[in-house]
Amino acid sequence: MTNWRVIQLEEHDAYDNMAIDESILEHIKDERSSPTIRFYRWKPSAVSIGRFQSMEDEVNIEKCRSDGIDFVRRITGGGAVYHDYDGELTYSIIGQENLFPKSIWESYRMICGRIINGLKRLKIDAQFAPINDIVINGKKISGNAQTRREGILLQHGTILYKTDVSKMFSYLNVSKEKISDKMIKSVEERVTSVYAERGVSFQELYDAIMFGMTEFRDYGIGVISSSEARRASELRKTYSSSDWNFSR
Amino acid sequence: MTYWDSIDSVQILGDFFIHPEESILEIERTLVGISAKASEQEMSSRLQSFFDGRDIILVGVTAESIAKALKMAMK
Repeated sequence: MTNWRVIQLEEHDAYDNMAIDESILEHIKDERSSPTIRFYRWKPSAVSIGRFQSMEDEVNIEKCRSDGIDFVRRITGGGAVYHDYDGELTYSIIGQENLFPKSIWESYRMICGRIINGLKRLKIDAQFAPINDIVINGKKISGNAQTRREGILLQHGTILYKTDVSKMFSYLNVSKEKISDKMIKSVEERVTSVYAERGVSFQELYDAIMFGMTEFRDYGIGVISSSEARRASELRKTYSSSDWNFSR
Repeated sequence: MTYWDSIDSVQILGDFFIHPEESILEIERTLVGISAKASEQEMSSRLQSFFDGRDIILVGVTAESIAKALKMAMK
């Protein structure tokens, strides 16, 4: 049975969060680290964009800068996400591809299934919405993104704890005409959060997702190794660089 | 995207997944040189023949949707 390392909830800025995920991926590829489940928050709050998006198109850079909101390009594809410090829990799961279904679609289903099981602990009945979302009665509560490189799968995703749609739109480049009360209401009708569903504390959400991700797994609580931290501090330079963030 | 008689350069942007991610650059290079007069179908076929036989997985985007976006960008 695979022995997983679980890194308990940490807080980092956007560049460190992305750098740590990639550093762990590299260490697992080099067989210097065990498959890992990691939980984190974004401090300060941040916007991440998908690998193939344009920062200038997607992000209100001026507003982010004036409010001290980080912005970063992810290693994974997908869309732009506002990571509110108080509003979400982020996880990453990183391991050899053979620990997961070969099909990308099935691997999303498997990993998202664990989040769904975690939410069940909170009496929240969520469903997997292919390809990579989790919904409650059709309203999105979790978005997920995956990459695979050199035999290693990395998936990270967020579980919405509390949402503030107007705040989210203020950091994303949605046209002014679209940021109407009607539009905000429409998004609010398509998105939900753990707090809106059950009113539990952030700690209760974290405990539930920890349970879902680790149930039936052989695991130990671990930390980021000094080698991983060193490599992450190198990778941070890339993630915080304009060359990377404005590369498209 | 820049083009005159044919596509000089192109960047495909958006909310989608391509595995492996680095292949986006090859996909974009494949489009360079295509005649600006090429139909959506011709562009789509060129992309599809590039994908055939390669281990590239597209999620949320297809050869057809890329071709459609290119034609729209040229209007």
